Amino acid sequence: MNDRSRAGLGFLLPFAALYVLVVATPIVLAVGIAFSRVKGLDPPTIGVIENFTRMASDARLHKALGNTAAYGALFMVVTVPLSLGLALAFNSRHLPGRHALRAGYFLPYVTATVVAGTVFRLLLEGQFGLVNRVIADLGIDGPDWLLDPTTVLPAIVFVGVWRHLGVFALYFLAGLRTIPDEIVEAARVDGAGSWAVFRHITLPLLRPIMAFVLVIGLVTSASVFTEPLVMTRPVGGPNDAALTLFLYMYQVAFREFNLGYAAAIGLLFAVVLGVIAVIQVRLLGQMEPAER
Amino acid sequence: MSGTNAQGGRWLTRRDFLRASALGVGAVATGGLFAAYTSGTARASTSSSLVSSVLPSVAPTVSSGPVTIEHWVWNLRQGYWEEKAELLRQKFPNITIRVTEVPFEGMYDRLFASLVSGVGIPDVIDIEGGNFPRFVAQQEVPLLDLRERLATELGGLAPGIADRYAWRDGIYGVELAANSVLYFFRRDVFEKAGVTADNWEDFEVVAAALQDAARSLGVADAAAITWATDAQNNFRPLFLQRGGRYFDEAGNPTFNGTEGQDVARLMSATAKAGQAIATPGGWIGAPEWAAAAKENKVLSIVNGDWGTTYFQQNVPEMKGQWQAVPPPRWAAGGFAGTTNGGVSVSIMSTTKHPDEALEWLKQLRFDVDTVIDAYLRFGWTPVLKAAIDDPRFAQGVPYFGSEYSQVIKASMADMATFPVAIKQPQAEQALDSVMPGIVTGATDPVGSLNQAAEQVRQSA
Repeated sequence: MNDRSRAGLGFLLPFAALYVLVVATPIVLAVGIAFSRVKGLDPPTIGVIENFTRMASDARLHKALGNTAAYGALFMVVTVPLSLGLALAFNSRHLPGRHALRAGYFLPYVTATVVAGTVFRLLLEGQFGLVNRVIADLGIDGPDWLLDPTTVLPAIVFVGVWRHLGVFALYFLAGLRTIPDEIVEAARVDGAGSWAVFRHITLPLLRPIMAFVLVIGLVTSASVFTEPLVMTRPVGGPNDAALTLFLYMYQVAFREFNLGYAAAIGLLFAVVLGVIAVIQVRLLGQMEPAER
Repeated sequence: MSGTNAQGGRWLTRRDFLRASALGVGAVATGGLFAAYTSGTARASTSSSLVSSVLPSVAPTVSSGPVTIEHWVWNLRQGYWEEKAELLRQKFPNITIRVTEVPFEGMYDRLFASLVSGVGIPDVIDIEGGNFPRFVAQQEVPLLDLRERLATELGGLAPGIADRYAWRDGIYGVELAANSVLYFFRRDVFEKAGVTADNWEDFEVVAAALQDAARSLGVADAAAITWATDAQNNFRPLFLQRGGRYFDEAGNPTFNGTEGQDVARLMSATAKAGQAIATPGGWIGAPEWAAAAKENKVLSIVNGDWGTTYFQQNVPEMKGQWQAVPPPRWAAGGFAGTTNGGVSVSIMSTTKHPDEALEWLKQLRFDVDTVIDAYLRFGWTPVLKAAIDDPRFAQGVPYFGSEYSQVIKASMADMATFPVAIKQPQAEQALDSVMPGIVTGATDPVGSLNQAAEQVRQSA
C-alpha cells in the first residue's frame, strides 16, 4: 500500500469507525439479542429460539403485520399515482404559480410528525372535530374516525399521504427533469399525443425513479409509527385496528420490556422488507439510469 | 475503478475498504457480543441480578459531606421543587437536590435504559401508578424497600394508602395524593332536572332527565356523561368501586366477571341511548374536552380529584357551574369511593445516598406544610392524616367551594383499594383495545371483556 492509499484509508477511517460503532455493531448485537431471552432487568439467557416460536402464535403480531401491510398498500396506491400526477403538473410550464405550489406541497413533509398527528387528531375528533362539523353541514353524519375500527387506519393513511405527497412529487420531478426534451419533441414530430408520450417515453424513462420511490415508499409505510402513536387513544386504536409493526415492537420493547422478542420482530421485519425491496427493484428493472 | 495508480502503486479499492470494514465489524461485534453474553452468563450462573451486578449495592451510611440527590419529575411546577429543596437544605445543609424534568412519555423507558446500562440512574423518581408493576415485575425490585425505613411515618397515612405501592413484603413508594374518584357535574342542569345521581343502576333515568333539562336550557345535544376510551380513567375506577379485582389469586384475569360486566353494560347502554359519548380528546385535560364543556355539550364526568386542576386551567370561566361529589354508588355492592391514578415518590435501590434520599422523601410527603402547599397550589389532595385534619385543607378548592374537602373526606372514608398485579399493564392494554367499542356502544360489552381477558391469558 503506497502513501496515497494510506491517505485514502486515513480519510475513510473516521467514517468507517463511526459506522462500525453506531450502525454495524448494534445490528450484529440485535441479531444476538433476538436469539436471547432479554426481559426487563433480569439476567439474559443466550441462545434461545423462543422469540421466534412465539411469533407463530402471537395474535397481536399477526394483527400488526396485517395492519402494516394494509397501510403500506393503501399508502402506495394513493401516494405514488398522485405524486406522479403532481410532478407532471409541476413540470408543466403552463401551470401558473407552480413554484409556490411546489413549496406548498412540500411543507407538510417538514412539519413535525407529532405536530401533524396532533392537529389531525383534533380535526378528526368524532363529536367536536372540524371535519365532522363541516360534513355535518352537508347533512352527513360523520363517523368517529379514530374510534371506529373501520376508519382509523384509513385516517392515519390520509395523514401519511398528506405528509409525503410533496416529497414524492419532488422525486418524480427530478426524474422528469432528466428526460431530454429532444426525445419528447421527436416523438411529437412523429405524431405522438400526450398520452403516448407519457406511456412510451416518460414512464419508461422514469423507471429508475419509480423504483426508488417504491422502495422509499415501502420503507416509509412499513415503518409508520408516530402517526398512530399520537393520533390513537388508546394507542393502537380500537381492537388494535391501527396497531402497526413498529408500534407493536415499541410496546414489546418498552412496555413489556421484552428486548429479546422486540429484536426478533425487528429482525423478521428487516428480512421481509429486504426481500420485498429486492423483488420490487428486480420487477422494475435496474436502479441505474437506462443507457441511452 | 482500477486498483493500480500511475506510479504502479496500488490504490485503495472498494473491495479493500469493504474487507477492512467487515473485519472491523466482525472484531467489534464479536468482542461486544462475547463481553455482553459472557457477563450475562456469569450473572445468570451466580443468580445475581443485572442491577445489583452493574451498580454498587445500597450503603446506608449517613453522610456529613456534601451530597447531591437527583430526582426525576415530569414537571418542574414553577419552582415548587426548588422551594421544597431549600426547606430541606435548611435542615440538612449538606444535601443538594437536583430536580430533572423528564417528559412523562419517555421517563420510564429512559429509566430502564439507565438501569440496564448502569449509567445516569437518578436517586429518586416519581412513578406513575400504572407503571409501577413494570418495576416489581423484575426478579429484583430496583426500588428501595421503605417498609422498615419509614415504619413510623407510613402509619401517619390515611388507611390503605401505604399499600398502594406494596409488593410482597415490601413498600416501594409513597403516594402523592388521594386521587379520589369524584363525580363532576353541571350544577345548574341537575338543579333544573331536579335529580341526583345516587347509584349507577339508575343512571340511565338520571341521564334522560338531564338531557331533557339541557334541552329546556337551549342545548339540544348535550351528553349526560362522557366515558374515557381507555380503561384506566373510567372503567377501572368504576370496576374497583363495584368491588372488582383484575386478577384472582392464581393470576387469572377476572375483570370480565360480574363487576366488570356491570360497568361495561352501563357504559354501552348509555352510549346506545345517546346519553353518553366517548370523552372528547380522550381525557379531561384534553383541549377537546374543554371545548365541549364550554359549549355545554357535556354535563358530567367521572374523574380522579386531579381533574380539578384542569377545570381551573381550561374552563376557569365556568367556576360555580360545576360541582364535585363522591361518585354514585353501586346498589349491587362495592365501595363509596375509589381511586384513579397515583404517583409514588420512590427511591432507587441503586442510590449511594439512601438516607439523604429518605430525608427528601419525608420532606415531600410527610411535612404537613409541604403537603398542604401542594394541595393549595396543584390540588394534590393530602393522604397524610395530619394534613387532612389541618384547617387549611378544610378551606377547600376555590373553584369548587369549601365543601370540596368534605367531599374528599367522604370519598376516602370507604375507598376501594387497587392491589398491584404483575400483569396489570397487559390487562390495561387489552382493555384499552376494546374500550372504544364498549363506550361507543359499537360492540357487545360482555364479549369485548371476554376478548380482552383471553388476550391477557395468552400474553407471555
